[in-house]
Amino acid sequence: MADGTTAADIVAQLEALEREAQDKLAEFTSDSDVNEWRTAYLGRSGKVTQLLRGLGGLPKEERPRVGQLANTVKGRLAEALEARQAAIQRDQLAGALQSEALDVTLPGEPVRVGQLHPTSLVLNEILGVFERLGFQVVEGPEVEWDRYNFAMLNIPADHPARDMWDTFYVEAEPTKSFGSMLLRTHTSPVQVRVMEDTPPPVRVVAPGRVYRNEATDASHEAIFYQVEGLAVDERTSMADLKGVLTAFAHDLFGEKTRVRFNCSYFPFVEPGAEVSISCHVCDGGGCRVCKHTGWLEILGCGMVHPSVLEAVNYDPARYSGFAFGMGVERIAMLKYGIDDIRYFYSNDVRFLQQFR
Amino acid sequence: MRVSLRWLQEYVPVNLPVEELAHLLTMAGIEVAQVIHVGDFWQHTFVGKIVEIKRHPNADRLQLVTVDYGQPEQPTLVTGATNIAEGDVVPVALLGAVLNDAYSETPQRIELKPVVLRGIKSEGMVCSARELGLGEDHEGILILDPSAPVGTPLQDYLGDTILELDLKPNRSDCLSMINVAREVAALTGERLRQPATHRLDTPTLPTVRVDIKEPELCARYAAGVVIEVTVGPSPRWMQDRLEAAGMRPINNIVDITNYVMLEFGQPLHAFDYDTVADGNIIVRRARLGERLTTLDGEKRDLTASMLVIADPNGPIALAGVMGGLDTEVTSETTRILLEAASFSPTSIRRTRQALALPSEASKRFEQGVPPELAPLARDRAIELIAEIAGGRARSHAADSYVRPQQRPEIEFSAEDISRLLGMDIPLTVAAEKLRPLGFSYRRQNDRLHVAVPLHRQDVSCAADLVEEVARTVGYDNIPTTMPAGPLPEARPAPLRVWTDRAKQTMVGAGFAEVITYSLTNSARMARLLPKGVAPELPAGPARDVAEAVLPLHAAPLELKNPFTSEASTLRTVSLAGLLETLAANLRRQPHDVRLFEIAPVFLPEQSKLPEERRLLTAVLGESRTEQWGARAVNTFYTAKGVVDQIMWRFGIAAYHFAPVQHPTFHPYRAATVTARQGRTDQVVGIVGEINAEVSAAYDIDQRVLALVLNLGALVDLARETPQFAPPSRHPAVVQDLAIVLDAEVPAERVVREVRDAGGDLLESVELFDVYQGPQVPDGKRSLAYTLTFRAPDRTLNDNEVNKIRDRIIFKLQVSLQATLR
Repeated sequence: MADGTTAADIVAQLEALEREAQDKLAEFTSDSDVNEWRTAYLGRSGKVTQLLRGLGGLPKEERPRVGQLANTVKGRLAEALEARQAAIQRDQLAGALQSEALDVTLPGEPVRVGQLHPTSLVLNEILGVFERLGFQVVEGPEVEWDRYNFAMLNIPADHPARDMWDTFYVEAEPTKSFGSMLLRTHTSPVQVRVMEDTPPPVRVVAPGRVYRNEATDASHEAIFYQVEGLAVDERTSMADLKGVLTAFAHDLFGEKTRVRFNCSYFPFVEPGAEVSISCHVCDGGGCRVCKHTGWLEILGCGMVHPSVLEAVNYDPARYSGFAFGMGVERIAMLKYGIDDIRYFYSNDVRFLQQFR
Repeated sequence: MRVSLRWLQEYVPVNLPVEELAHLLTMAGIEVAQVIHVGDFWQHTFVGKIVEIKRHPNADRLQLVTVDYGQPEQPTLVTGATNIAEGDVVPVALLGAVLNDAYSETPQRIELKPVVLRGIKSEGMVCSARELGLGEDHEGILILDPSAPVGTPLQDYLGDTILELDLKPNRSDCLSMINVAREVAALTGERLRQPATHRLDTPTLPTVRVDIKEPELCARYAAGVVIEVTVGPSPRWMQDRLEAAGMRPINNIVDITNYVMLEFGQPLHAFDYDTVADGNIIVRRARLGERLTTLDGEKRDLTASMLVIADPNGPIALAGVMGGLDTEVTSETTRILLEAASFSPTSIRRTRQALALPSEASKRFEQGVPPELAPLARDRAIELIAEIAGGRARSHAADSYVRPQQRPEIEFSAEDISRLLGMDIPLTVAAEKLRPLGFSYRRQNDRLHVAVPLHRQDVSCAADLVEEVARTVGYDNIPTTMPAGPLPEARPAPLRVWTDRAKQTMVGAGFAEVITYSLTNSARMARLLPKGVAPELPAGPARDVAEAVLPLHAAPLELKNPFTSEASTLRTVSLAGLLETLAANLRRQPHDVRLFEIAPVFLPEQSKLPEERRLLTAVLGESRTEQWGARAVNTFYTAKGVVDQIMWRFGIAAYHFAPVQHPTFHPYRAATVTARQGRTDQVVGIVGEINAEVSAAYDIDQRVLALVLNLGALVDLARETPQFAPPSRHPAVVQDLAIVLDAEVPAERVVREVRDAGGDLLESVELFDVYQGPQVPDGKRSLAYTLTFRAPDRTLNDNEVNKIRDRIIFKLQVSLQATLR
């Protein structure tokens, strides 16, 4: 180092050196170059270190200032190196990732999940509502005796009301106490069996398959599902029936659904009623679905007939009850907008896959 | 029941829009299924009089008709009709009128436009009943009553509104115009006007003698006689009303019996008096071998269960069902014997069913016609006959009332109402609601003693009266509450709970739930067996499968009255229906069809209801949509995996598969599923590939996998609650083991040996490769397993693991002659 080197000279050299180092660094692309650079500028015999050796020629009072500056430059270069190395790594990774590029528009791997039949879906929904209202689910046989399907339900033999149900009879000897064997025309016999077995209070719903011997068309099937409900206790009233079924309709079809009860007839209830809901398609304005009436009939119900209570040894003077029954497919048709009940037994997967 | 509003207004004023009336009736239990507006589309259509008829100069089959319709100009119309004469009053449709297209099968409207027929311009049309939507008749022009006001718009003269009632069996009283009117009066607060009837009594008429031999089947028989009648068409107004009610006019006598039936609800029958021997009516059962030719011309064999009206020579009518041809009223008839009777509903119903002969009369008798009605309706009809058909009459020629009916009095109180309805209605209000319906009452303290009117046979207890009050108050006015009171104790329902879980598992495994008909026939079920194979199987695993889930050998329950032979039997097997459904779906879409059903089969039991055994049945075709990364086909192992999944969900660990040769399945690709209960093994199902001959019978041309499990049996074995075992904190040692051994040795056997030798520290044995081919000797195969060893309480060292592994290898060498690969 020549004499007469001033602090300003060293500072200028330092600055020049830093510029040079930074410029070189910016051009670097690989690890090996970076190592070379590190040795050249920051290493023990690197250029900055060499420059610092010239400090000895400076006046004593200037040395700390220039030394501090040199250290700062060194620190900055080290930092720049680190940043540059990170950037290089990032670039390398990016290249590697690019080589893994996927066509994200190719189809996803199908998750092969099946689906419940729409009848099951709606049945579960219906039962769910009544279970929340304290009803228990009970089941009974599909092949029944006349006694349970008719006689104990206030429908004696030759009663004109029998024409309300076209019945399939089974080839089997009728028995004296139970009558003919038949395919149940409704799930009401389950209610009778429950009442025969248990004292009141009773609060049950009975889902299941029922049979009608009639020609099939868009709105009739020979086999379909029903849910019937029964509640018996002291002072169970028609107002309670209205409350439960209104809650049911709101739950299944929405809070805004209006519910209408009109007088009707089923031999096992008195008073009897039919329940309609405001058409959810046209909101009561009248459309094809509701046949321009604004109302959709969804179920039949009423107060358990005193003869039925007597038949199961419930005292009609003390106990009263209500019963209701609905066709599950009918509810499903209304909910999903299905216009032909025969789809339910077609079991066409293109039909089944629409429901979830 | 079709109720003409014009006719109804004869008995009760209707001062509200018909839609409101229909709503009121429906809400009160008289359902109005439809409101039909007759003639609502008649515009430019008038009552017209034919002034002149001329031949069409250019066409033999056409006539030129000039009509007067009350206006100065008299249009000329071209018509092909021949039933008209000058002076006839007819409906005249002018240009712009809209008519039904009489030649269209489906209802269609056409607008009348100017038309030139063979050179003559027609300025309108004279119309048939069919063109006006008044009936099916298109034989000729509708001839109106001569008194019809010429020039009046036809709608004002003939237009009507029909309420079509859909009556429930309890309200058959409303098969009567008067009773419908009573309902309307009660619901609208109007007064009912009943037609007044008078008894005619010409003393010198021939007599009628009535002998009721079966008082149980005929409570009452009343008869009237009219002589010197002229049988002919009934007046237009009566024909109009009958047609509005949906009945065909025949002649004045028959029309009157029908008219009064529609008015009162009491069926009537008119005999030609001169054909009834000795004027003697005998009501008795038919005798075996007797025959009767009924009005429809059919010769009918009678049985002792049928009630007949007879004279001393034999049956002359089927009581309450249909009259006999020989005693029919014809144009020659001059003397009429009119019957008004009350027959047992059961007897009428059985006869009607036996002969398949429904009629307006039998419909009413089956619902019960009160005996009190007979003389009232008879008197009304006799009066009308005398008035319309002329002649002299004795209304009360006979009345045999052999079984007078007691009308019970019903007691009820405000408490009955409050208890059943959940609403308080004062007794006085209730009484006021009952009165216009025809109920009379007397009050005693807090109770009402109610006498039921004769037409309301459906009312027999306090609950019935509560309904009467409720429906007139309006169901909408009953409050809405929630049931109070204690909830009954919950009952366990394991079958239903596990059915739901099994369904969820199957859905998770990719299966779509189906619901198939539980009715089938024996031939359809027998398709599960290859041709010539008997359903009886010798004792063995296949027989065990049959007993558990495929009882093709069991005689099924047959229906007595099937709707079709295709669905005449309660199924004993479920697989047949599933294969039918699979086949139908594969025809549309050959890939990825996986179906399952959980439903009962019906196994007959001696003088008991059949066992309803709930089965889980699943079927799938082998074909899968080709997609990269996915497996090519479903195999036996796909179906077997589903069984494992179900067993896992049910918490059943003790079960195994064993080969079985069941005729429905591929002889070397099917397995019994056997579960252990206590110390016994129980076959609970089968899984396998369907025999190609069987799937071919279903027209399925790919391999089909199936499984059938006895769900009820699985529920008995199911473990509700899994028991916790703490996961080990110590690392596992994982080793592979590949062996070569006879290909015949079942893999399950290998695993059992490995497990036996491996002991508690062997955590799992997973098969990862099966190889058979040039790399191993003929008749051998290689099986490769991943063995995982782990101790619950410490880290295993290699030494320990190697010892176990050596033990396993030794065991495999000794028991299965396996070698390390």
